[in-house]
Amino acid sequence: MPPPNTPEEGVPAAVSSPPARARRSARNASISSVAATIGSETQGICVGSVGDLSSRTRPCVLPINYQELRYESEVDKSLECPICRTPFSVPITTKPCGHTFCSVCLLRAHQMRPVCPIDRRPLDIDRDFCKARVIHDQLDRLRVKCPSQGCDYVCPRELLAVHYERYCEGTPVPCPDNSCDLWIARHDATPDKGCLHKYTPCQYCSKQVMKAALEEHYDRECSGNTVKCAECDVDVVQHRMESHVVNDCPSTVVSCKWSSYGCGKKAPRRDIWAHEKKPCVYQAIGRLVKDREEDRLIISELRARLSTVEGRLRMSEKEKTERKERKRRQASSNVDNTENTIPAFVPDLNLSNSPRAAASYNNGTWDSPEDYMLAQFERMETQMEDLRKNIHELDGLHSMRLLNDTMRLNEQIAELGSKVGVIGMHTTWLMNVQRQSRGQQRAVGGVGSPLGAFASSSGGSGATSGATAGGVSDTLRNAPDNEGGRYYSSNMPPRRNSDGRGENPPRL
Amino acid sequence: MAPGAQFAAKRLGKELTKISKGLPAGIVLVQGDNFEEWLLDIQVLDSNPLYMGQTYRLKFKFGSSYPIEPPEVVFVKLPDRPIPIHPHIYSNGIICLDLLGQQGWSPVQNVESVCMSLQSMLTGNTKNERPPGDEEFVRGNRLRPKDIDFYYHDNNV
Ligand SMILES: [Zn+2]
Ligand SMILES: [Zn+2]
Ligand SMILES: [Zn+2]
Ligand SMILES: [Zn+2]
Ligand SMILES: [Zn+2]
Ligand SMILES: [Zn+2]
Ligand SMILES: [Zn+2]
Repeated sequence: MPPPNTPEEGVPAAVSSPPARARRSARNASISSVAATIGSETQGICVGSVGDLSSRTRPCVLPINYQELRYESEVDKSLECPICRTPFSVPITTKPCGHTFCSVCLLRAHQMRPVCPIDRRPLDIDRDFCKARVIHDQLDRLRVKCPSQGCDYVCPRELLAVHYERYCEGTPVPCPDNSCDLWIARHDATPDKGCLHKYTPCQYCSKQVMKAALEEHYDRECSGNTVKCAECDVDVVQHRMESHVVNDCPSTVVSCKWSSYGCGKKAPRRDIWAHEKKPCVYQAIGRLVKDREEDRLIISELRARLSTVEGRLRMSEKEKTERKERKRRQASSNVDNTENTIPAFVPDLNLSNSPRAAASYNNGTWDSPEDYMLAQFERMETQMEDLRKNIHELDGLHSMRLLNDTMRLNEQIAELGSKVGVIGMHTTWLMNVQRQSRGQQRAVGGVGSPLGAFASSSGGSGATSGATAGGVSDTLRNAPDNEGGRYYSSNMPPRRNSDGRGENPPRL
Repeated sequence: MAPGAQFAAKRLGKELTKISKGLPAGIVLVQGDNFEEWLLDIQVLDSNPLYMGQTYRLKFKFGSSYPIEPPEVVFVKLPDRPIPIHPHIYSNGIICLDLLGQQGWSPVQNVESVCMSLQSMLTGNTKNERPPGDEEFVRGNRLRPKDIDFYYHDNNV
């Protein structure tokens, strides 16, 4: 059962529409949609005989006139239509200027002049109106009295239609007589009673009274045949005598109204009144029991609400952990590319277009748009918190990585530096060797052969150059070196000498 | 009762409830026991010498389309209730005010707001004169006020 204020969502369009409305809707499709909205609120829903011929021409109950409802307490001025000065029926808001009116009122005013009644801004009926959801929900919560005669049912406005259309015994329904097009209270609308709109002479005063209004006539106007109550000396319409004795007569013997709680007092009503006023000792118990019963009702209602809330909470909790999980996975897979992780969260930020968000609100999971928005805010906040954590994590990861990488680099640089130093030492050593060998050559008296120069510069060893260039003299002068020379000629890698002729190159 | 008339009656009923809780200074409801015609007295509160110390009687006539359509509002002449002198008020009580015309009316207006508009229209006036062609108009006019096609020469009064 959809709330009565949103009939366009669940209830088929109005069964019938007055000719004027039909004419307009034929001319303008969008007016017809507004009119249908109004229609379905005012026409009511066909509950009973759907296939019945009469139901096609007439709604099954007299439509509720939302502008004539009486409210339990005074309604806030902000919920009043500035045109009819009653709480909005189906509120619609103008898009350019944000003024709200009942759709009926605005439609009427718009037919006269296509401008906003408040600031006279020109308004286009196709484009410039939208439903006023928030106001709608506020109106739904107003406590309103049932409009049926003789019914004192009070309920939130959104539930009124259900009571009125399905349960209320006083709801005017079409007269069971097909030839009669008047309305009659549901409890009187039985085929055996027939049409109660026919006039009949009162059996006491012979005045012509409509059958349906007979009871009222007896109560209010009939002066025809009153009799004195034998017990209490009061004038009572004959017709009412029975009920007078049962319900009102002070002389009838009745039991105390707390009898079901243990009071056994039975006395004429006037004594009972006094007794109850005194008050009856069982009153306290009775009240207590009654209160308890009420409390129990409230508790069970609250419990039901709590369980739904808990369910909702669990759902959102699950959602949240799922989202966290997803995010974590994303975060870990996208560590190298933070840009990839961010767009994944963006759809959640888009409140209005998120189909899930819209659905959860429309399904009535939330009591009001404010609650819904608050919940959304909370959700966003937790998301933000998660994001912040993720960013922190990423940040840590990054700096770790950076540190690791730079540390390695630093090490490498240090290594390279030391290598450079070593090479530098080698070079100095080599230069020394070269200088020394040149000095030797000069001392021997020969000129440095180009081969010798080459050999020394080619990075071999001082020993080679000595062996090849100054071959004979060297051999003669130094036997062990000769041995080395032979070694070199057989292409063995240069050996480090420790004969003290040159500085030993530093060990790498 | 036509559905429109019911709408008007309902709205007027609402206005009556509100009026019973009090009206702004200088406005008094004299008669409002039906939903077709109301009488109100208005006074100008400041010391404008043209209107000081005077009380004027207004007659509101409501159609079945009220408040979608404007009410018909005229000043009524009585021994102790003169017609205020104003360049937009004819000596027969007909008022030439944009607010009360088909174009200037808005359904969010009500009896109280109309009275207040008239009060301020008088308060702001300094010209001791009738509209041009007043005599001729008063002699010749047989139309109802709302059917007269006024030319609203000056909207700031
Ligand atoms: Zn506006
Ligand atoms: Zn309205
Ligand atoms: Zn009811
Ligand atoms: Zn009937
Ligand atoms: Zn009678
Ligand atoms: Zn009696
Ligand atoms: Zn008792």
